[in-house]
Amino acid sequence: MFQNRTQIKNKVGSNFSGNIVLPLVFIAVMLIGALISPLFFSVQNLRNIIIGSATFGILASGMTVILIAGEIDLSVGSQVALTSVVMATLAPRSLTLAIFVSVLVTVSIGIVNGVLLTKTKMPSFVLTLSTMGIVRSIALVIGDGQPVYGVPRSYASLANASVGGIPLVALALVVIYLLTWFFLKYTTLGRSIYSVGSNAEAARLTGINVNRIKVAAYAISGFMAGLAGLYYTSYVTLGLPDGAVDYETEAITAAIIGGASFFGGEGQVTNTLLGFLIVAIVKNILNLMGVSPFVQPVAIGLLIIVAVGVRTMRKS
Amino acid sequence: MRKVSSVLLVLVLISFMSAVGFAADRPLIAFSQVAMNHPWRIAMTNDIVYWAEKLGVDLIWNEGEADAAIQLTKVRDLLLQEPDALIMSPFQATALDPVKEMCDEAGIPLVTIDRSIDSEPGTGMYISFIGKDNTRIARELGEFVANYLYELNGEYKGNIVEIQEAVGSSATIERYNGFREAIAEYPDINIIATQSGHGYRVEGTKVMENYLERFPAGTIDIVYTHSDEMGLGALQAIKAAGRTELIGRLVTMDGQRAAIETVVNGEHLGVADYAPHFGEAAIKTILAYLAGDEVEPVQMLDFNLYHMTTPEGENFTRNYYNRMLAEDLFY
Repeated sequence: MFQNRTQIKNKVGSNFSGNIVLPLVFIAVMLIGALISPLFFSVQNLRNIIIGSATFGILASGMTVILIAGEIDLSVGSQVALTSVVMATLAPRSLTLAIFVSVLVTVSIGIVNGVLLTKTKMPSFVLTLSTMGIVRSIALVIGDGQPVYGVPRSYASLANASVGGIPLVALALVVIYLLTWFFLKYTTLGRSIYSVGSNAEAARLTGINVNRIKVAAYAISGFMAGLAGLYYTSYVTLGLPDGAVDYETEAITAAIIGGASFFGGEGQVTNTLLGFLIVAIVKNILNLMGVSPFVQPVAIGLLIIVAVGVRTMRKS
Repeated sequence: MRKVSSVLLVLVLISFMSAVGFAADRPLIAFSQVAMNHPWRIAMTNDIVYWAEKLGVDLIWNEGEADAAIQLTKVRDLLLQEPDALIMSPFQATALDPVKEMCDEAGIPLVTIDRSIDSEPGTGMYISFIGKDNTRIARELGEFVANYLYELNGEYKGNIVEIQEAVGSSATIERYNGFREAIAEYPDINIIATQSGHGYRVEGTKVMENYLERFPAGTIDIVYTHSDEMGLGALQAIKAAGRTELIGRLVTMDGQRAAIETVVNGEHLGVADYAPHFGEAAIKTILAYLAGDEVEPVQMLDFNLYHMTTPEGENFTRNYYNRMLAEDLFY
């Protein structure tokens, strides 16, 4: 048990210098981008990258928390779609109400996910695969399968808004990642998530209420899905019940390239941020190069294999 | 020797530079496709690539992965390269409407194909919408079915099952309504079931299997699917279930070769053409606009109905099918 505690401590305490590969890859893709297209470093392009991929970025921070807890949440893409539908439905009455209800709904979905998981002990992959479909259905039923109009123009324009030349959503991403980083590193709950994900039994023996921690992790994931949904709604300017399909895989991709492990207990939200940016930049470069869409997933696939492969080989 | 090679080098350089010079004279057209996940979409892209080459324009294109947000992002990537015009097949009318504003700001003419956006074509830089009239095509297909049932039964009477396209798309709504408009005149022709097959072959099979279980032999007269892929899927289910009475009772829309082939061999009753051939009209519209000519803000392209129920129909369909084989056309 004592050994476990030191193990946990090592994992929680692992610092930035622990993984130099990721920042190097980040710098490398930036350089490649600059070499390949003079447009890459244009202000407009950098704005496009952030504005276009921010939804994935927000989801990835929540997914990191879930992966650290040793679980997975496949329902976040559906939650984004549901949020957009709820927003578009309620916003004509009151924008504040719509935002409040949207986030309340996704946090509730997170809590339901967590409670079902801890009560039934079923694998989170299976559980959230089910809730993914259920939440999607709710969105489709509310929207009657149709796009929902009614997002105010003022709200829709937020996605493109800037403060001093910096996209508002870039600032929001910084705040979200800083808060998540602080939460995971400096709060009891955050550190408990690492303990539970690393070794639930050991965590239980040290007096941690494992079930409660897992429910909390899912609530956070739901909260992030809600925020991502709020941004998504502004970006697409309406409620799309059949939108945001497969967004969970984008979030998972960013988190695992950033070093989060499917076995729990590992992951740094700062590295997820790098992982997310690397993926977004690689996609942008491929678009600027005009690479066939059939081939593009190969690049992302190779990126995952290299990033994760280097890590697992090192460890063994 | 050295001199010769340096002369050669200079020649190569000059020809290269002049090639670049010529290339710069060719207009650069950007194309934003919705997704490349469906044969119809792939054929649409191939058609645009074909006409770009034929009409002497340079083309850059990408696809929106069947997601409104991703398509919007990728349109930005295209506009960044400052094309002379943008062709877009939008995923959804409202979500992609901001593209009009982007084009206005950048001064890049926009042509939408297949589906439009919320903005009015002919305003600002949104110069034209080129589509096909789904409602009209579905209505004519409905009339064709009604007449077939009359020939068959001596009266306008029959039961139809329907498999719809992707939920909520304008094409679905129009194909749904147009067909109903045509058969509304005949109270004894009824649509007894309708369900979405989302446009995909596998889903078409699934929905048809469901129908075959619900409705025993003799209770279905016509199967109407909104797309060839689903029609071919439904045919598969019909064959697997041994429901031979429904062979030759399928009508569908789109007009891909595999579906026309089933018309020729008698497995489909009819196919209304909604071939994704927008490239010629779209690029010619852009070239006319760039040359300073007036362009039509809304252009509806013609369509055909392929069937073997009359000698003229049979002749027309066979000829078209043989041309498809000869030229290796998918659509």
